[in-house]
Amino acid sequence: MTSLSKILQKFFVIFFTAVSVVLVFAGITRIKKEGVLATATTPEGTAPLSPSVLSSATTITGKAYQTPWGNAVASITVKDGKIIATNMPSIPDSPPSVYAEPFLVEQALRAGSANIQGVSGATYTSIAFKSSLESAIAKANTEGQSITANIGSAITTSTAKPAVPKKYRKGNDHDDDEWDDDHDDD
Amino acid sequence: MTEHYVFHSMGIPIHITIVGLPKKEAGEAVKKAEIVFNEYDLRFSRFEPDSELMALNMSNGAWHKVGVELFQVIKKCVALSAETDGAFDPSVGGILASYGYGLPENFISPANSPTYRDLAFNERELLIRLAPGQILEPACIIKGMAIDSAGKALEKVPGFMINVGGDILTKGDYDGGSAWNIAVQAPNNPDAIVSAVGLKNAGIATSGVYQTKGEQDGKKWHHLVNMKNKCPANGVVSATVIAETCERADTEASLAILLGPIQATARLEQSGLPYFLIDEEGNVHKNSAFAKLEVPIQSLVS
Repeated sequence: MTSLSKILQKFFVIFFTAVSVVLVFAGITRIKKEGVLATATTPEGTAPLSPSVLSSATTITGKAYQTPWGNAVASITVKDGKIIATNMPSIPDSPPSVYAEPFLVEQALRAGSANIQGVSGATYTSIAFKSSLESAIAKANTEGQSITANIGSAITTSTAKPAVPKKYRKGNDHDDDEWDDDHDDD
Repeated sequence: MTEHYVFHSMGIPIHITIVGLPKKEAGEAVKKAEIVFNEYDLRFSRFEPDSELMALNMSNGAWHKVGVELFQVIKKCVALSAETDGAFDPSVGGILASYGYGLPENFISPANSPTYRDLAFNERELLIRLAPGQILEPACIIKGMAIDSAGKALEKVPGFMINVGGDILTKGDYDGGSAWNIAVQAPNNPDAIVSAVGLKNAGIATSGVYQTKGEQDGKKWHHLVNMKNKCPANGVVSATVIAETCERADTEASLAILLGPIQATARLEQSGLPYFLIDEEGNVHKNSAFAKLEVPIQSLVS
């Protein structure tokens, strides 16, 4: 009898210890999951950037496109038929204008009085920038500037290269059918 | 002391807010971040003629030597493709290109579109072999990586926010110990927000199909293509995910769109990451982890 109760006792001790260990462990993993999020860690060597602006260059500004951050206006700087810089000068050097649901006093938001530091959303401005840039390049062509070089060889000032379709990278005659529209839909 | 900077890289304006540094030091820190973005753009852009990615995309079926970072990026993409059974596939580059979204020069469209399964890797030599005509677009990982890397460059800054086209990394406090209040864009109205969260030391990304501006020969398209059926994904119109890194947030947000509401919710529930999805009917799907971070919009607007 005594041995049986001892075995039982042992069993309960082991059983409850095991259960509590499991529970504590599960709790810790949960806390870890929900705990303070750490900052990013991606190592990266960096290359120096050498900004330079060349004189005797022409700057052509594209059409303005509306974005949540204000109007996006791209400009290109052309020298000797080469795009030497692309820029978007009209993005304000201030926090992005914040827009909220129309019922929330829009004027106050635009004036920046909302306590909101950023808006997370699908990328608007790349498309706006591209459109504005395209119009700048088109304008450059009509103004007698023929662009022959790749945008890739451009020297940028404080900006980098935008996403520019091939037809503008090539710069000669650009028909829409330059795109290969075939794609398989199987 | 709060300083704002806006510059342009990776095809979009980048907005950085720095807290707790004198103007000069803040400016120097931002310069470092800008260099990181420019470097990522030059190396990993599908549009950049001299980029490492462009060279890989032009390798046309031959074994091609890449740097260790690009190798890892493509490997990560393949792992995600396998996880999602091909709904995500970096080969989407070919589909996007066929819509007129960055086609390399002298490109010949392959007869049947290759998938991630056609990629071959040589780990020892860092070689990748694409199928002929296969175009890879790992942008959904690259953007997040670049933001995280820029965040790393700002390591010594007490508090910052990096906003790259709506993908945001925050560190530390915004102002006197308060969190960074980040709003979520309304999908159907560019003048509206639908939610706001208070963040410290976290990344947030929103992926959406509402910016469907692209139209090529009358065909509407957007950049999130489910590679299983080669169609722009439907079901989830906006997906916001919060994670410890922007890379993770951005990847999960993009996947949520590709996978559709049911699979996306299942995947996000499993990950435990705070998420906020809006489906086609305008219904919101979010978890308690997200709700905990939410700040009433009214309290932020005076």
